[in-house]
Amino acid sequence: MTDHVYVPADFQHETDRLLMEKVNESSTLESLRQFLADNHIEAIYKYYYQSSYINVTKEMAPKITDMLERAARMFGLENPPRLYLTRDYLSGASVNGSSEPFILLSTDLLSRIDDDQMLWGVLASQTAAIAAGHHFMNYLLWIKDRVEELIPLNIIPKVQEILKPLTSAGLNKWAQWRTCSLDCAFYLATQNFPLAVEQIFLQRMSNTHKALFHLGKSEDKYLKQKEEFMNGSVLSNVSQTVNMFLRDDAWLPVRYRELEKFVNSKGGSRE
Amino acid sequence: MRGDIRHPKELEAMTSLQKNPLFSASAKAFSKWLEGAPAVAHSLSRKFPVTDRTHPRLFSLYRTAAERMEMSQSCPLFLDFNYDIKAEVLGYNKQCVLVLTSASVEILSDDELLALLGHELSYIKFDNLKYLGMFRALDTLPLPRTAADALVAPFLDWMHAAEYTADRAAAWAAGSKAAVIGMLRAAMGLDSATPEIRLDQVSYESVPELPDTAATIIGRTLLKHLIDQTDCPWGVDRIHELSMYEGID
Repeated sequence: MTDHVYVPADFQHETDRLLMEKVNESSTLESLRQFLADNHIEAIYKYYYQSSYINVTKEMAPKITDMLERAARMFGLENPPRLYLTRDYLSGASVNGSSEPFILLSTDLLSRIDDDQMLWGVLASQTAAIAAGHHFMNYLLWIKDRVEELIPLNIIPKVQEILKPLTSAGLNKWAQWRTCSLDCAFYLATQNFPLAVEQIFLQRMSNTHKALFHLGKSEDKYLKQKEEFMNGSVLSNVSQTVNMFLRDDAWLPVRYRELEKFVNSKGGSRE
Repeated sequence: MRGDIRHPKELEAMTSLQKNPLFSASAKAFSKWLEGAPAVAHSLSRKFPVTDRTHPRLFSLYRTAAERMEMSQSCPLFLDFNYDIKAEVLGYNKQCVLVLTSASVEILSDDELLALLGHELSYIKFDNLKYLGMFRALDTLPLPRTAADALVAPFLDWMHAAEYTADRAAAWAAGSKAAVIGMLRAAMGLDSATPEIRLDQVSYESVPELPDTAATIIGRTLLKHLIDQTDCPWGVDRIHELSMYEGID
């Protein structure tokens, strides 16, 4: 296996990178950090995960922790990230946290993964997300949603004001495009285009149905649908744009297209 | 059942809660608010009743759990179609129902189901339903917002310790601590079907208490929100705590 160390610039989608820059340049970010520190929000967050989620250790899952160690080396992290498990089938895999980032993996997703390459790719791409700083952005998203919803304005009158630039910087839009970066990191880790396409559909199709579509291969039966989506009428384009604002998950055909572009740029091929 | 089922921390937290003047006032308001609670009607219209005719095996387990907990009366049991592993008592006093998810019945062993049912029955046995209901409804209680916020911290302390008590009761209902641990572990996502994980090697470490400095109203409010969203709140910590209980093997 390769000893090459990838940096975020190697796999991060341009839109993801630009939006993250915008958020990080926000003049109010420092005051938000101070607010979070003053209220020990990260300590509470850490306490909650440590006390309510099972942390994967080497003793209980040596294959998984070995992969995390390898992924940390591949994407330039000093230490492998912590991995917590959850039953929540909607969670899939995600990263979160501030100074101590971690991966949250649904055991439902784990049970859908039926080969080691796919498991490696999923863990490696989440580790890459931490290397790119996605965990902190997800943490900010959580803070934004929860603080706006829960904290009474008469106690912290400035919270919404502090968070306003983050909202206008487009965090929701970022949540869509960051998945494209993960797809590219998956490809870098596995060097396997069909598998990288398959993982886009990991939570959307059963393994049996995925096999019928020959995803990512020359006889890919999803390609026609993808082309129809990308070349839709003006009306359907408007509908797609509106939905992009309402939903925080990227469209599957968009992810597929962006992955193809990335693989082509790296001189890769379908097979 | 032994007399030491109620965890000392729960009794301590309950005393502290009851001494809080805000709590006394809101408890009265809450009792009125809950009178005639629609939990039974709501369940009758949306969930599936478990009786000796509709689901003999499950009903028999429910009766066994109640008998082992020395409860002469329990409440109606309903099944809800849901992927989570959990159960909860809805309602208040004689208006309550126990709702169990379908995934629990499909995934848990009989002993683990006894544990899950016993855990919930303990809230009825120890007359904790009102407090449980108040904890869940703190955000929507007809109280001034600042009063509700001030109650979050003592309620969280009680709720956390009440889980310890309920887990001990669950062990009595199931006949072993191992069944409770299996149930909690499954609720957190790990069961015998989870690939790649050696269940016998899972460790449950003690989690340091939150420092007092972290007990700001904002911090506790966010923690309550996180706990509300979790199917098995404090699960790791609870397994650690239960493993130290000497009342049952």
